[in-house]
Amino acid sequence: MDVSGRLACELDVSAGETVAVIGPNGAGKTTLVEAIAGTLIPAHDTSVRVGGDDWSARPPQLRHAGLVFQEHLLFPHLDARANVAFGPRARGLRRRDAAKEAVGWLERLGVGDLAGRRPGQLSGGQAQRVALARALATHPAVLLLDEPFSALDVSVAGELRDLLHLHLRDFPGATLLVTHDALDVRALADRVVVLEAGRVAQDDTPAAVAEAPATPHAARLLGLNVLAGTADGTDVRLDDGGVLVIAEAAHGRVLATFPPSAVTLTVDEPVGSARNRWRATVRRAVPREAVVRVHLHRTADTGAELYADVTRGAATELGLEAGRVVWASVKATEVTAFGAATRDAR
Amino acid sequence: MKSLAVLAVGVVLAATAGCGAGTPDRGRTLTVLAASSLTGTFTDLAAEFEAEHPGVHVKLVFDSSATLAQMAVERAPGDVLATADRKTMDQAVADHGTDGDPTQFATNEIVLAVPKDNPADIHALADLDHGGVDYLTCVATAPCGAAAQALLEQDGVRRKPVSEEVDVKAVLTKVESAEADAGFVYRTDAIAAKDVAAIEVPGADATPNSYWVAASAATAKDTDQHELARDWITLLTGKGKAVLTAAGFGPPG
Amino acid sequence: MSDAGPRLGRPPARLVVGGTVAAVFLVLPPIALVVSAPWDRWWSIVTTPEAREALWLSAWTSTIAAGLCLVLGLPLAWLLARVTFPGRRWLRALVTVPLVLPPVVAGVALLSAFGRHGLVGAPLRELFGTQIPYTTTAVILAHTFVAMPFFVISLEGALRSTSARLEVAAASLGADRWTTFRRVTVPLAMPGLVAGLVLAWARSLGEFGATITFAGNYPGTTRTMPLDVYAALQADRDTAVALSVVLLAVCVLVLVALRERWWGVR
Repeated sequence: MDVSGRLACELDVSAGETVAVIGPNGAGKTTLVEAIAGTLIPAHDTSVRVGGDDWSARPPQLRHAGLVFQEHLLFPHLDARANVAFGPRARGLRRRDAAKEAVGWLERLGVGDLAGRRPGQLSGGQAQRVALARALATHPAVLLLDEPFSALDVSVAGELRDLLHLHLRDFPGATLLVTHDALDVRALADRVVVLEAGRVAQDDTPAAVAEAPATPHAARLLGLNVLAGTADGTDVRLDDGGVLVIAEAAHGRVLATFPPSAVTLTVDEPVGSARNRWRATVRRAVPREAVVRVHLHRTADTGAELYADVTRGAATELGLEAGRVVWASVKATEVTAFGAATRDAR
Repeated sequence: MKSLAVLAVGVVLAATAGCGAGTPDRGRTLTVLAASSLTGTFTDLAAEFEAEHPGVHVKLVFDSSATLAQMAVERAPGDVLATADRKTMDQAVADHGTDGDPTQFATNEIVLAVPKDNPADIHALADLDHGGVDYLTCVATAPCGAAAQALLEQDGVRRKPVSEEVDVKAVLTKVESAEADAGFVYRTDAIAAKDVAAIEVPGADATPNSYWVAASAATAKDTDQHELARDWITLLTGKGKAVLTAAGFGPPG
Repeated sequence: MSDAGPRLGRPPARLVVGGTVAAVFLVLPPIALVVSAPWDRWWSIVTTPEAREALWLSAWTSTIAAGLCLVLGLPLAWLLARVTFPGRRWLRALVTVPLVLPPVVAGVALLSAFGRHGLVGAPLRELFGTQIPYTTTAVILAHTFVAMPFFVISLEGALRSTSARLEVAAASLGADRWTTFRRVTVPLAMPGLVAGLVLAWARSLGEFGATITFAGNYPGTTRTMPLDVYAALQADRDTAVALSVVLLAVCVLVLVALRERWWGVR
């Protein structure tokens, strides 16, 4: 896909691939989605090719893009089943067949029993499930998700994220996910495209962008440390081993997050108020303007990654380079933990 | 302060001096309610009246006789009532809308008006019976309409009018603009109109409309207005006759 | 469950007083009309053949006029609300002209267009021999002319307030513009549509000036209820009042029956 105008970028997405698009407001993320969906009046240089077809001149109705919006945009006067059946019916299916297909999709997304309800009677999470079913029911070639979970409760978003992950695994088309949420990127994206001021600033795997983010926005968004575990009071037994201390007590499955800026690196074992401290090996230290992003492994538990942001001065002082062993500590108060359903680690 | 008081008293005295009997009529209005067929003649007579009564302004209100009678009964502003038929005046008298006995001052005959170039080639009432002819009358409840209906019946015309307009003026307007092929109006209207020709209707002279005038009940309380009203009636039956005759009205019968 | 909204304290006195005065002002004349009707003769007056004829004529011409407003006004409202074209502002202004035109003037305008010597009427007469004035068709045309702006304005407002993004969603699902119009736009604009239609019907029921000037006044063909009332007024006021009460009753009944849909509130 090659879209230009207020947005100048060239983007290639393979079938089955999920690309996360991140960037600050006004960077052009929505423009990109609209250009692919066909709802934007295109500038002369726009070219959109999907599969072997050239979509550039087609109106939205003749493209095969499924759209899921932040505000579900379900038709308020139709019930869930009719909403999901809308696409298939519009493409020629008979009413009964479309209704059957619709119910099938609703069940696959866990809201089969809500088929007769109107959008006004659905919760945010339920509505978004229906919206997803509606988009998928047309078997689109491209799935476009524009911040689909940002209006939802954190735990509800988590459930939906897992659900989407399941469905994207089997989805044959290309998926573009516009998001402001690091968890979305982590859980769903094969690739991350960073947009800044209408241009592509970076196009790489999530890990690569997390380590060496090209823009401040990407830096803030990605590189978030995310640890899953089971909480029992203020202790969280991490899935990758070890214990994380959090400030507020919790119970059951949790996701614990803290930003790279909350991690302190020291040469010797720290003695202080930070309850969480691990020995860690530096894998890579990537300098940016004022900060160095350090990618570490918790030595005792290989595979458990950790990101820390330190000043250049500190990085030099501590001699942070690949292989260096240091102590990483995080205050329990810096950790945000919230309840999560069981999810496979990624 | 004292001079102001003197000035104020002086103004009051001057004002009251003007209200005495036998003083020139300054700044007074005589409101005349008249049937629409009297438009042209009454406008001319108003000018004459104003010339004879300096300081008096004659305000003319034209409408259908029935509406005017209603206005007089309801004491709407109006000093003189002039209707186009006896029935409406009788009704006004019965409902205490008038003061004193009404006087007949003119008669008017119904004629059949056609547009100047007579597109439907009408020359007699019988021609109205031809297919495709659109002719108008007033509503049956208006004097003009009632008279037209009687004449149509008398002459044995079977076809009905295409429309019954609210007053004579409406009929005339449509005939003038050739929106209708013919219409029953008063002779005076046909004479006053620019682009119509009048066709005599046999038997119309037998039952002319009579025009009646009376002072309205509202003047009973105001002697000066009442006097003005009587002056107007005198004008109608006296010097005004020439104006009425010139316009096509007949003499009071 | 009360639908009065959140409790915010007592309504301000000046609003209550103003509203009460307005309500009394609007309700008093109809009530006075009903009170002053000749109830002893009422039934015999309103069941005369003339009265029934006029009422029937009014009812079906207004209904057809409302139908025409729907069929013609819906596309117009949609174009004004959804499509950008040069001169759109001018068109919208012109569409509201019948609203501000005095009805008799509207009648004269209709004559100038469709009368025997009208812009369209004259060639129509010459080529096909058809004439529009003095026919019931003219009544319907007059009614439609004065009522359509009510419908178009009400509907255009409703269409504008419907989210255009829902139409984007529909398009992305493969619906062409006509399907979107049918299945999304119109259902969502329904309250405004119904309100506009009722307004148009009511306006057309009460239409007098344009009808009498353009269509004429003849029992059975063109004498609608308002014309009949006016004619009766010339002769017998009581008859006019009795007939007016009928019109009043019909209007009130229709408005009350449609009250829920009118406000579009659940």
